[in-house]
Amino acid sequence: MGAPQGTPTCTCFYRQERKAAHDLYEKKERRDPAGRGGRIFLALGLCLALLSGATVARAGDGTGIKGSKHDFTAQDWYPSATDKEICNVCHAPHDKGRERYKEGLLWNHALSSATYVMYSNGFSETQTHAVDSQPTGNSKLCLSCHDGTVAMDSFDRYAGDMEYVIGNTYPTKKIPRVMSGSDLDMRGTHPISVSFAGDDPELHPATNTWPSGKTIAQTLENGKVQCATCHDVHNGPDSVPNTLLLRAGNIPGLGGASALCLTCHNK
Amino acid sequence: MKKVIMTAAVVAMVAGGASMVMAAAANDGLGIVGSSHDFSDGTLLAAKIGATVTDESWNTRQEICRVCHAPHDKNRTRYEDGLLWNHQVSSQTFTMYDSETLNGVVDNQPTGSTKLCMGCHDGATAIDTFDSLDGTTVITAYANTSINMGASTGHLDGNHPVSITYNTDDSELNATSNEFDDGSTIAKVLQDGKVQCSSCHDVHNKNTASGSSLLRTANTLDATKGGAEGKASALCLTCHNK
Repeated sequence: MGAPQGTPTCTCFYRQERKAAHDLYEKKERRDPAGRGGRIFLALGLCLALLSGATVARAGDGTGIKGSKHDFTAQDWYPSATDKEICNVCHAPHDKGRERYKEGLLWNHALSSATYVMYSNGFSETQTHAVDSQPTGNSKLCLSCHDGTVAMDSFDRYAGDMEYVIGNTYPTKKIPRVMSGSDLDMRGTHPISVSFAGDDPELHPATNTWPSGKTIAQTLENGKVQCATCHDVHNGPDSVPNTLLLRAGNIPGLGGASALCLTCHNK
Repeated sequence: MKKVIMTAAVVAMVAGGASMVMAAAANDGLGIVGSSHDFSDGTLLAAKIGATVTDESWNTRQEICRVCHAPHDKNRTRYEDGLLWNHQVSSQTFTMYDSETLNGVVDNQPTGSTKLCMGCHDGATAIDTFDSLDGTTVITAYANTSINMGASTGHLDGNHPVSITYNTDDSELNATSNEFDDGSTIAKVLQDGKVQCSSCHDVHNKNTASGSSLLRTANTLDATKGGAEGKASALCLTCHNK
């Protein structure tokens, strides 16, 4: 299987950048095995793209879901060649007896049945806030693709093909460090489904704002930190360009060194 | 209008984030930004700790937290040592402090936060080996040799015991309800009941004695090190009943 179109590239990590460069290189090689000039041209172009921050499509850019990383209509794995929608992969306006809606947000994607090891006080005594025993809220929904156990194309009426679990299709996009779906240790990921209590001197008040002006409180779900607390998954106005759909940048060129972390953490 | 300007200023401060506060001196108790553990700003470490290395260019992404922590492990499994750790840990074998006057149990190798600190302060592991980077700069590149705790040879026996239980039955030690000047009780700065580096040092510079080595309480009369009248050995005497 070739690199899926729109594989996120220089949004976050050197490693991903290198991989994207490698993938592009390979593609070009296949098309033009002897094309030395082409390779140089491509390399130059890629350098320019990386330098200018003009990434290959789909980096978070705050311009909406259409064309974003979470618009899957152009992906190989989309189960229908013609009946393509954006929202339908995650949401449906009417449940069709699949009862996924019970998790909220008119959910329409198959959920994970995995059991996770959570980042709790038992693991780290500095983590003093209450953590749900398993992921809840929007984190549970995100993990229905990002844990690597559920076929991404298992949504709505589609049964899905396990070839298209996230780890096969986008090797760097699994959360946490799931290669096969067999390792569901969430202790390598920032605590989720964890209460953001206002009286912790190590945390800023929930009235603190993200660059968009939204408060921390507005990005908590039932007072808990979930995936969507940091990530604006719809690539909405909160999503800082050239980040992983983050509500604040984390480097000096994108709003400040560790600005995302320090929005909540009082360090 | 004034309000608008104020708001604009606040927005600029938030947006500028780091840079605003960065002008502050290192280790001033005002937070991680601009402290000697902020490697993002390219500020000469000489201004912080007398470094001879000229800049912090080894921190190519210029994030603060990422040198030590990452929100998502990327199959490097460093997180298993806790605190979402993202820096290489030391592979040295350490000689731990031992003495017949010791009344606590010492782990046979560094544990807890000490193990993490030794990922730079052992004087052997490259400080720029973190996240996806494989570095080469060792902490000995800094002129301030006092930050090379392991002396590059794993010798922790010349340092205050770490990874050692705080024996609450020891009459030579104060009650764990005793407080440091930063407001933390002894109990709070122990990790699993053990004294670690972070028991004395607030590595995030949250509320440290200004000018000190990130200490929770000043230890001298010297005002340039955060000291004051009555602060002679105040750090030591927070725990030690002497």
